[in-house]
Amino acid sequence: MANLVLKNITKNFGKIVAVNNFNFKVNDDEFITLVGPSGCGKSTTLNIIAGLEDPTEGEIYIDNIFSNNISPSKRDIAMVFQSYALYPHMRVRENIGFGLKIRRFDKKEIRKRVTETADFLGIGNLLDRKPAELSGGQRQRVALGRAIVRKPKLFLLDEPLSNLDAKLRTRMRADLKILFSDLKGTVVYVTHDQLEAMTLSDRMVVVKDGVIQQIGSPDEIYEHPSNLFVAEFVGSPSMNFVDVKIENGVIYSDGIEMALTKQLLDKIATYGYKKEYILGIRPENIKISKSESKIRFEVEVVENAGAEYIVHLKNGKIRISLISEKDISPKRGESLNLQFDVNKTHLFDIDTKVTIY
Amino acid sequence: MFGLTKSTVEKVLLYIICTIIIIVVVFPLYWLIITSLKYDIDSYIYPPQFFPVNITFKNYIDILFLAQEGNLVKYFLNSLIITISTIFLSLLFGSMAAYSLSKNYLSIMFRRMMLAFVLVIRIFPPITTAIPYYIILSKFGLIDTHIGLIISYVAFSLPFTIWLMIGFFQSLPAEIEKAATIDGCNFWQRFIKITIPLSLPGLAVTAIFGFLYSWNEFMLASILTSENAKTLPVVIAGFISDKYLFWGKMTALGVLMTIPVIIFSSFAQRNIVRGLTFGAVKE
Repeated sequence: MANLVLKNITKNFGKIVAVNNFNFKVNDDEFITLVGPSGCGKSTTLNIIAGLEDPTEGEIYIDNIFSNNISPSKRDIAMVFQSYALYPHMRVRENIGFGLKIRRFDKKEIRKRVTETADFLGIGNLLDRKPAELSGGQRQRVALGRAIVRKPKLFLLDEPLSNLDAKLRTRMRADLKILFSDLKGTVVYVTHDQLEAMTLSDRMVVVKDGVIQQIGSPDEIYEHPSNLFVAEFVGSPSMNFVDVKIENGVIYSDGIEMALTKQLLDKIATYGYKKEYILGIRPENIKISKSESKIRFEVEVVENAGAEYIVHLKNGKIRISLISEKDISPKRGESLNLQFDVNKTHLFDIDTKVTIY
Repeated sequence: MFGLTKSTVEKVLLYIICTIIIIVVVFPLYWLIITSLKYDIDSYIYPPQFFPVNITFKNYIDILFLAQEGNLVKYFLNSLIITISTIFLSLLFGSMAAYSLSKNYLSIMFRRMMLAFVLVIRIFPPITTAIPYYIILSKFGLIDTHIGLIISYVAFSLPFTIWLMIGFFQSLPAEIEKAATIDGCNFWQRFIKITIPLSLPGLAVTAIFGFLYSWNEFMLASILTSENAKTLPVVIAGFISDKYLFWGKMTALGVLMTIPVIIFSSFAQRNIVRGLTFGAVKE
């Protein structure tokens, strides 16, 4: 176990700034995820932590040791790659034990550790196979085995689930959570899947275009996003956004008329009044009302998600979605009265996209 | 027309074209074999005998066992030693050069410059360098030696080896090397334990081409050797005199020369097909 500190880490590729002034700390035994869309700099950051790339500026401390000039093989880290990067010409046994062999561990010790690790991961019966003879899930376990057999200070995982099908991904997500709870290691995980980040992490670092947008626990990021990008990126179905005006303490837009709470009004007053704002509300915070309301939308399409319906509605140019329980079955074209949970409503600055409330 | 469908006509045409191609490719080898089994006089008959009437093994006996033909075993060993040494040294130095030029260890400008430099060597036809080679090797006392010929062949093989191997090295997934680095491998360990085993198809293809070049090379061998390091192509050329052409012995030796090529090629055949297409598609 070790802590990790990134101080002012920047990486330029010519004129392109791939990583822009990253500053964060990962505590001992913490599982932190770098999450963001493709090309936002998260894999580059992981490569910098691993020592596979040099930062243009900044410092890295692994276990309080300045590590910029330490080679990857001496940083006592293990990495799992998106493509698993297994050695095709070696059997599973040799793949897992390769790092120990290079480090000149005793043969008996290598055999012992490889067997223990394989049994721990449930791949003890695959040790004599080659990677080409394994399924995707099995290869992923071998890649994990290769990482954990060395008992490193730090685990780096670069989108290890992205090559798996949806069902296997869901199962492996749970397995990974159990694995790293039992293993007790410091983990830096990279993914573009916000659900993976939410379910696995102790904390998340949301990244966009090489810039950190927000760092926090999954609940903090979900309930209190710092800007529109974070609000939209995290959560599925994603948050609804509507351009609104506020007059006399009431929000107005097509099909929406909603009184604000005192708390929200105070917040707006502190921030400064604007002509327009962006209202944000998550689908699960919109309810279908049985009584008349001042929020009315027409049903456009209903998606049957198994345990619930995802109802897409429109009013003029505005489109929103809500999650409805199965006892209510809206029909296409039906006009519905809706209720927004004011306490779960967010307000964003229309120009800067920063969260006001 | 005539009740034939379009696909039938296409199939027939395809078979005809394939047959013509096979005849064109195989006929020289067939002619080589049957000429080696004829008496010399039968080689001069007009019209030519496509199916020999009088078959003889005299030509093979003459070149293998009769003293006046010289020591064929010695020339065979010369060709084998020079060819295998050329392949070994070309692959050894060529793969190392290709590895460093295929990765980002050196600046891109330097790599481009080195690759262009390597390619320029192949622009010169061997005949243009034959005299300078002769002068340089004679200064070092390397005329008519195995080493002299090996050096010359390696110099001409290296550019091709480097260019072919660069393609194979670049087609290997970069993450495998990153994984090896994280696992603790230094530069040489990555190269020897990971890159080379994964590049065996490419090495096999390069070896085949190197074998064909060195085994069949005549021009440099005829200029740079006389007796000690004489190779089989030069021996074959010796059967052409100003008075007579010993077709029977020439073709018999030609047949014997193809045997190692066939053995080597069929041994590496599986790797050739995989190796020829392996570097063609980047993942």
